[in-house]
Amino acid sequence: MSRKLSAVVSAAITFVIFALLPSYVPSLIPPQYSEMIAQTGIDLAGFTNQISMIGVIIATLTLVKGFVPPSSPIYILASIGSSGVTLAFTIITLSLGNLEELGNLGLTTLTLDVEGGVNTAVIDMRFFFQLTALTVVLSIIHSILEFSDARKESRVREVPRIDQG
Amino acid sequence: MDAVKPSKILALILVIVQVGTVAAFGLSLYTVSTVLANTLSGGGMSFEITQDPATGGGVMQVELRPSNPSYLDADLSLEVNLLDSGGDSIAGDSATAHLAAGASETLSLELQVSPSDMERIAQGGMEPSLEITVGLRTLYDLVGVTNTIRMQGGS
Repeated sequence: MSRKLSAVVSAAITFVIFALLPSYVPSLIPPQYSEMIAQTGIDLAGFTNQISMIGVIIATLTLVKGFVPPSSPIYILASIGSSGVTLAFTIITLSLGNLEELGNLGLTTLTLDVEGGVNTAVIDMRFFFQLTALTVVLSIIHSILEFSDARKESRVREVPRIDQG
Repeated sequence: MDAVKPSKILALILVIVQVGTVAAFGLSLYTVSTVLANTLSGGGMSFEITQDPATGGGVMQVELRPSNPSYLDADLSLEVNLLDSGGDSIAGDSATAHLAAGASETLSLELQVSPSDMERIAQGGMEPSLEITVGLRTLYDLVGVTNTIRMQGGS
């Protein structure tokens, strides 16, 4: 499969999973559960909108990466941007879209008023934020190495042409 | 034979880390949700309050029967506090248990309430509230949830 076709397929899958599905999910949740989620302070519509926006950005960057040569500066910028957006996606997902919790990087507090009392849940998913941060750092190093390899290969291809001229 | 490029080795490491992350996330989420569901629902927790007629002091016995039907070990902690109207603890106890995958345990707590506090409660001079904290950690203590329920007197 060519790079361009592969990028189109990958971008389409990303778009469907991260942009189309999240915007459809709130309509599938029964009203009583939607109400309960809202009581915990989670803005479900806002959360799914954030995920959808990130989905559109990732799909666009995937397309860009497929249509420019790996030796192009645009390719490495798109790769690094894609890694950064993945980190943003993880932080937003782990904080359940609650902007006030974003800074806690995976430690989320939910408070729900129950009959005659208060229920507070503290969810500690910081380990997954740390793992994602590690993955993002490795992805950026990988992008730089790929870019460097591609530049070397393109220079090797250009040299004989210069000699012949 | 051509040497393998560092970028190819890194690509393989990245795939392994990403697959590992997804697997660990799924297993952790499954463990936390199933253990909490088994522990907090279906009559997993029981309370019994008795008063010693001789001393007037009270004893609240709390029993929790958590089970772990998932694939990862989990550590569960239970803390129960009886609070006075000002939110200060008048009686409390805590216990922890290690739940191996597929295992179940019983946690028993005993809260000793002094005769004077029992008298204040009986005479309506104090409206106590109950604070129950259930903590659950899994994936080698890397992931967890702490759930605190505070119930006002009479509820």
